Amino acid sequence: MILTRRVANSTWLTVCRPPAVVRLHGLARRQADRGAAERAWNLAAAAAGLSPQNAAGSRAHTEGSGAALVGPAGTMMGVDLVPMERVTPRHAQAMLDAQEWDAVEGMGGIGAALAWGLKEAAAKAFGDPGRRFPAGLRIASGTNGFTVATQEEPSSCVLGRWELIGSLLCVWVLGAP
Amino acid sequence: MSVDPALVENGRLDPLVRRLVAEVLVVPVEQVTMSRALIADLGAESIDFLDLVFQLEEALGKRIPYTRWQSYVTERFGTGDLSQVITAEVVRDFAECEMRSE
Repeated sequence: MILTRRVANSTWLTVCRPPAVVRLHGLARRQADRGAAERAWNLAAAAAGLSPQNAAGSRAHTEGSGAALVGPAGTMMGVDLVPMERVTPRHAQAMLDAQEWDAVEGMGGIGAALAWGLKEAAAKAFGDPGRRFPAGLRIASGTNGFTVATQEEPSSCVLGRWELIGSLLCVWVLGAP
Repeated sequence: MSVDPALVENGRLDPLVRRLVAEVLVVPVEQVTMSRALIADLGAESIDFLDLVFQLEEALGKRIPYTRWQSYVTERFGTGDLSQVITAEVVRDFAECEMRSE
């Protein structure tokens, strides 16, 4: 299954999912995941119509599925794919403070996965995701939805959006226009 | 289950860490050598590292905030490519640090 759609001016999101859930593990999963993310990137880049030197973007992959967000160079953006059943309240508790949990708790069953995805996507948008995720980021809810800012610069934030695609939650963040 | 600190001195922490890594990544324990990269070679994702910390908490019988793992990795590797450098050996070293800390 392939989903491609515009999520902002000149910024396109593509998600590629295998026709059936295939439980791969280890290196086989990593190779399948990366292939799916590459396909998603190519489709999103084609939809955006941007030349490689004028395009920027973000990729995510899990369980044989891949997602890509492609937009104009210089746009702050990040994407993540979260298997819903994989993120438990224990995971959420380990990466959120009380205020952050309050912010996402109203989202019911997707709250923990959404929080995870918001932080993962924001970590990619701000750069250096391996070190920034999750403690270097803070989730807040505002009038426009959820925002994520870095600990060191709270005034610089990205806005989060999401879509549930089967058992996967696709979460993306974009910088303020 | 709580781990005897003597395991560290006797080098028996390695099999425990390999088993925990294999369980979290759902790969045969034979595939988990101390030097294989957990991300690049064994397909680990970010949530797997949180699960590994949970497993270590239970094995060591102590609470380990995930931020400690994050700090450990940052201090050890600086700005290197994490996908290539995090191995079972790194997890073992982290577990040793945790066992020795108050």
